[in-house]
This record gives sequence, structure tokens and C-alpha cells, in this order.
Amino acid sequence: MAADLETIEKVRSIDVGEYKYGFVSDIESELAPKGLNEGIVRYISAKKNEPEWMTQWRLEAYRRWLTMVEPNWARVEHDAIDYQDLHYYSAPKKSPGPKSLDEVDPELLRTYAKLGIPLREQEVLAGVERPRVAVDAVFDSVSVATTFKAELAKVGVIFCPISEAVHTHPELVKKYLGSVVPVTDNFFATLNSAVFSDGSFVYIPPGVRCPMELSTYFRINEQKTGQFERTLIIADKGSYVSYLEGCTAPKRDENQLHAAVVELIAHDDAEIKYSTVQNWYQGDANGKGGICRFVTTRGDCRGAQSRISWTQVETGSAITWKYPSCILRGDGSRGEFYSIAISNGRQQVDSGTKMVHLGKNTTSRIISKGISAGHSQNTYRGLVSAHRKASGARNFTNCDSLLIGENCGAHTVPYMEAGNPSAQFEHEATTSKISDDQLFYCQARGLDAEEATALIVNGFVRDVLQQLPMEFAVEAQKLIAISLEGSVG
Amino acid sequence: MNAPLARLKTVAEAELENQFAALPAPDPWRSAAFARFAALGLPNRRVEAWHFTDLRAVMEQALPLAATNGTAPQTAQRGFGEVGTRMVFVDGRYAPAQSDALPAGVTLTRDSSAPEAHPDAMVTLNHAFAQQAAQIEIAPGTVLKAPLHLVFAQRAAATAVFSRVKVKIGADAEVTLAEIHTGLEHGHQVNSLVEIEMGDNARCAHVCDCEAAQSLCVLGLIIKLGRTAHFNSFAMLDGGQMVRRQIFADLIGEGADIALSGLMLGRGAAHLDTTLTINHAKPHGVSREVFRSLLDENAHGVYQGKVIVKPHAQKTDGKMMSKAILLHDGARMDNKPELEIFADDVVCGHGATVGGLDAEQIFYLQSRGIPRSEAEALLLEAFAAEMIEPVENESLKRHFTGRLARWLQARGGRA
Repeated sequence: MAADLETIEKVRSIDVGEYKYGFVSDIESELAPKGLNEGIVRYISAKKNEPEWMTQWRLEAYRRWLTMVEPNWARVEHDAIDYQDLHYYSAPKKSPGPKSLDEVDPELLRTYAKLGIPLREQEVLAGVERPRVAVDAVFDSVSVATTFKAELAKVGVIFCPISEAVHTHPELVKKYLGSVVPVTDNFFATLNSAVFSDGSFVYIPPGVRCPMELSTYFRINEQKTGQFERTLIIADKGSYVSYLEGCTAPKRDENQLHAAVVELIAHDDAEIKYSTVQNWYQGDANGKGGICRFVTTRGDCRGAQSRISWTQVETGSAITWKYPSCILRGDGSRGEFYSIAISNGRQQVDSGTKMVHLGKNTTSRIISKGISAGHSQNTYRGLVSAHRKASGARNFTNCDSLLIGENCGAHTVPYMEAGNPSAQFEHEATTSKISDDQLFYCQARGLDAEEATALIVNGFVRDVLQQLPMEFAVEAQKLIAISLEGSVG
Repeated sequence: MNAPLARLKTVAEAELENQFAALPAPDPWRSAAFARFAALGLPNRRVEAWHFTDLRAVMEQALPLAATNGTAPQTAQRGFGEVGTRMVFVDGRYAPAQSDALPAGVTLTRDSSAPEAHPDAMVTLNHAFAQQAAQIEIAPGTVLKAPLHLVFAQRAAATAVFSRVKVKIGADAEVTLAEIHTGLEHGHQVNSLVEIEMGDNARCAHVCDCEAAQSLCVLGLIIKLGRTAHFNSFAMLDGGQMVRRQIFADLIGEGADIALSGLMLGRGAAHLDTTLTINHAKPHGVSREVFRSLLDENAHGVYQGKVIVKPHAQKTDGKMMSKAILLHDGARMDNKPELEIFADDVVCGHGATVGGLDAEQIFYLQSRGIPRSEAEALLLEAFAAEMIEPVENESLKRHFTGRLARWLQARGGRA
């Protein structure tokens, strides 16, 4: 079809497109020497002034990591990662930590402005009645500034860098850190446990509905650094929190490593909504450079009637290896996973979810939309399992893939393991290209091929877009347009 | 620990090694096949295609090979449809005395050429151990009205049987093949392999019947479809210690059409596994996989389906569906319907459901005066019989319907 050819041509010419966030900030930063050994783990721990138990925790993880083998089951191909050729710690250099935004390096603020983080405006607008967002910005590995801290403290919400929480709330960190993703979980999680440098810590006390959306921006700046952030969110009984995570990284020639761990814990009747928009550098048209992400994200519905919802828009990174999961332990708990994964150029996405039903009458819902263009490979890999005792478990899974162009691939690998006769699992998946009928229908009504494609793709991902918080939905829509530039007009 | 540890051999693996060493002068390609198997070992959970069927754990020992010579056994095949040409294989060897005369256009020869190396460990093991491959050739253009029955009968109790049959269906030929595994009441280990090669525009209706009783069966089916060839298959697996049916289909000709269906009936501690790979290599291919399972008591069902669409296999149309009903607290079903697609102009989908009997449907029937046990039996029969319906050959259909009825009857009025 002519319209299709035109689209494919455009994708080819623009391919990955200009990476909007591909700039390098000139900020002096403090780097750990390259390589990984016990000394580096101690160095990171010392840099953070961590207590002895934390250092030991890291060292234990490091020793465990040495015995582990990098997994290779995912449908991603990459050059072997040389773990000794990376900096495991990089911090913007400055003497005392910033007390307020005024003390923050103006260069850094400019970086954020380019990123579109309304950090400053948000504070200016603090008194104004508007949807507000508390931001904890992680620049390379160090959390730079947490806004709105005071206001959050009023209702008892703790939102701070995890390095600070280790000092201020050691009892919470000790109790929960590693309780969802154990130190021994997998190769990348164990590596993260040994060398994680910073990340966010959130605690919502019982019965509190967090008054604003919490948000973190991650950005990898320094060359050849790995970013290993660690997020820990605890929603105590009857509380609610919505958390947003956005990621960008500047253009670099070499593949950068990102191995994050996110742990969510929801107690009785608590609800956590975790949304991600990820737009890291995906490498150039030949697949050179880009971020390799190996992320372990897992939520534990520990309490009865608790609820965890993951929403992700994945448009960036050369390699995405990410499976946000829910362990539905509490009776009547609910897990949700909404995902849009767009791959273009030479990107490789292997993402999905795990819903592990352990408690009675637990429910889960999975909606995954994969869009594959250019020379990319997009895989959905998911597990739904019901334990022998998980009576009344219920799951609905829908994963659809859309293919644009003849050189891309879309794959679906769902596992359904039902060990209980009252469990009811339903799964459906389709793979197709945009149908000629739909295109024709739209064109017959006066839209050109590009507009028609855009309309159809928007409709395709609508179910998921609707799940995003307002602040993110706009950004996500823009990102989808950028990622598919040329193919969706 | 980064370096792989030398794998410890299980008792069964060591026994297989001894058995192979004791074989009188096997062909070099068979020795090579065994060496490949030895390197792979018995399939286990760490082998992705065998994730849910841990043969290494289940197969505690390798039973002695069935003797290759001996007196002609009593007739082992059951009355399986009145019409048809029986070809009986006793302990893996063709038994002409019990077989019918071959119809015109069909020839049987012995094939001892080296087969293509296969990635699967159990197919490789079959290549190494199967004493001889029977090659059935159906001449191009031959249209067989009566079905060909391939009856695999086991004689001595507690033995291992390896059988291998190659079927070549010439261009434009039409045939109905019934693959019947029987005499499995006495704890056999069966590794059977049927390889079907279909010429352009050939048609084949295939059924597979395996009432495995107390045996451990691995049933392989390798199919290659030529241009616009059409293959459809129905399989009924029931009982047994463990039955693994694996199908490897390659659509190497343009416009080839394959339809696979099956019914797995599990009770006791049965482990029933259907694993298939459909490889669409050329454009305009069509594939349909529809499988249903009824799992009672402590039965464990596994369905793994993988549809691969190679680049350039445009206009492929693939649909896959697996439905299972769990009837007891101990029953378990693992589903893995997989799509791997490298071409864009395709329509592929899959669905899978697992659940108990629909309470509302039972209520509906009960409210009309049908006792619960009968209501359940009705619903189960309807669920399962739908799979048998498309079997074209009437005598085969009757056979399967009877088998299903017996299975349901044995379940009795238990809720």
C-alpha cells in the first residue's frame, strides 16, 4: 500500500530521530574509580556515611553477586557488559549539600529546565491551589533536592533520598529494605543491592492519603557510569500514594548500564499507584550506544484488600529488561499492570509482569500494548500463577502488539500456571499491523495516511494512557508521538 | 560457580548410556545422536521447552530395551474402527503377520539413512535407539478412502520401546492416518516418533490415540508441509503416569494449512503435556491450534504452543486456543501460548483460559430439574465432544466419542 510505504520510508529516514534530551551538563562531578570490588562497595558506603549494618548488607550482596551468572533468557542481544569498566559512583561535586533550591548549582537547574521538570515553578506556585507534585531529583546517583518536604512532613509522609532515610529512619529501612526483592533475588538486583547509590524512600503512615503526587526524575549524566537507584515505598494500613518516575539520559556513544530496584509494600487496605515514563537514550540508528536497563521492580500486597497498580510508558533505552510484578499475598488484594512499550530503531524491549496469586480472592488485570517499528524487537513476557491455596483467584490478561514495518518483531511469551480449580484465568493476545480497512475508513473521511495512523495508534494505547495521572498523561502522549515520529505523523 | 559444574548423571542417564554401549554395532549417525543426547541429558525444568515436565525427576530409571526378536505376540490391536488398513508395530518393529496387505499406491520400506539432527533431547534419543525406521510412502496422486492405522503395541511388561516411522505423502495424495498407542497397561517407557513429509497439495487427516494407563510416553510428531498442503490432526491423551506429546511443524511451502487439536483427559496422578511449535516459513500459511483439557483429582495438564512467523512469511494467519477445566483441588494446569513474529502483515492471536465449571451454567441446568452430577456430566461432555466433532472419519469419531463417554462415566456422579 502506498500509504504504508510512505510511512516506512519516513521511519527509515528519521529512524530514531533527534534525541531531544541528548545534552551533557557541564557539572563537576565526583567519580569513584572504575571497577567493582569490596573496596568500591565500602567507598560508596563511606561516601554516604552509612552505618555499619548497611555496609555489611552491601558487602553480603556483593559476595553473593560474585557467585551469580548473568541471566540470558530474555530476547535481547547486547555486547558483553564489562562490569569492571564502569564507575559505580558519580556525584555532582559540591561542598555542603544544598539546603534549599537557591543553593543548587544553576547549571543543574538549567538541566532540569531542559528536562522540563517544573522544580522551581512548583515551589513558587506552592501556595497556589493547583495539582502539585513533590519532586525528588536523582542526578546520576545522588538525590539533589527534595521539594515540598515540609508540607509532606505535616501529614507524616516521609519522602526523602534513601541515603538520608538510612540515617533518619533506620528502623523502617532495616525492616523493609530487601523484603520484597531479596538480596539474593537475581543477578542485577544483587548487583544493585551491593552498589546502589541513591533513590527515593517513601513512607505513608496509617490512614493517610498522600496530599500530592510524589515524583522522581532520574538522569544519567556522567560518561561510563552505571546508575543503580533503589526505591522503597511503604504504604501503611489504609493509606494511599501515587508515585511518578520519569527517566532521561543524555546521548552517549557507549552503552550505559542501569540496574535499578523498586520495592513497594502495601499493608491492609493500602493502595500504591506507581507510574513510569521512561525516555532514556536508545542509541543511534545503527544501535550504537543507548542505555541498557535491567530493572527489578516488584510490589508486595502484604495486607488484606491492598492494591498495587503499575503503569508504564516505555519509549527509550537500547535494552529494556523490566517486569513490574505484584505478589498478591493479602486476601482480596489486587494487582494491576498497564503498559505501553514502544520500540523503534534498534531498540530491544523485553518487558511484562508477574502476578503471583497467593491469598484468597485475589484479582489481577494486565493490559499490555506493544508497538514495534523500525528494526526493533518487542517482547511481552508475563507470568500469572495461582497457588494451590489461592482460591477465587481471578486474572484477565490482554496483550496486543502492533507492527509497523517489515523489519521489526513482536513476541508474546505468557505463562499461566493455575493450581486451584476456583482460579479463573483468561488470556488473550493479538498481533497485527494497522488494518488496511481502518486506514481506508479514516482516509475516506478526509484524514491523510499519517493522521489516520496517528489516530489508530492513539486509540490502540488509549486503555493504558487513561491510567496515567494527569501530569504524566500529557508528557506520555508527547513521547509516543516523538518515538514514532515519521510513522504516526 | 561461574564456570558450569560438570553435570552429575542421573541413574536413568547412566543406564541409558550402558544400554547404548551394549547395542551391537549401531550406525555411526546413531552413535553421534546418542553423544548429542548425552551432552543434553534428560530434559528438566531448566530446559525451557520442558519447564513444566521434569522428565529427569520423573524418569527414575531407564527400563530394559524390549527384546528385538521373539515369538510373534498375540494380536495386540483393539477393534479400532472396522474400516482401514492396519500396520502393526510390536515393540517398535513392524509385524507383517498381524498387518493387513498394503493398498495400491502405498509401499513400506526400511530406512536407515541418517536423520536431520534435532535440538530436542528426546527426539535425539529416539534417533539413537530406534532400531529401524519404517518408511511408508504414499505415491503422488493416491487417494486412500480407508484410513491407514499405525498400531503401536507393546508386548513384554516393564520395557522401554523406541519406535520410529516415516511417512512420505506424495503430491496431491490424500490419506487418513490413525496413530494408535496401545498395550500400555504394564509400565512401559515409550518413545515414539512419527515423521511426516507432505508434498505439494497433499492432504492428511491424522488422529492420535494414547490411553497410556501406567506408562511413561513421549510421542513425537515432526511434520513438514509443502506448498498448499493441508494437515489436520486430533489427539486424545488420557491417563498414564506421564504423556508428553510434542509436535514440530514446519510450513515450508507457500499457502500450507495446518490445524491441530486435542483433548487431554487427566485423573489420578497423570501428567499430560502437549507442546507444539509451528514454524511459518513461507507466506500465506494458515495455522489453527485448539486444545482442551479436563483435569480431575491430582492430574497436571500442560499446554505449550509456539507459533513462529519468519521474516517474509507475510499474510500468515495464526490462531491458538487452550481451554482447561479443573475439577478437583489437586488439579493443575500450566499454559504457555507463545507468539514469535518477525513479519508485519500477519493476523495472529492466541487465547487461553483456565477455570472450574461455570457455576451459573450448573445452576441453570439444576433449576430445570437436572441433578448436579448429571448437569456436570452434561457440561463436561459438551466441552469435550466439541473437539471430537471435526474428525471426519466416522468410525474414528465413534471410537473417540466412546472413549470420552467411558472416561466421563468412570468419573461417576462425584461433584
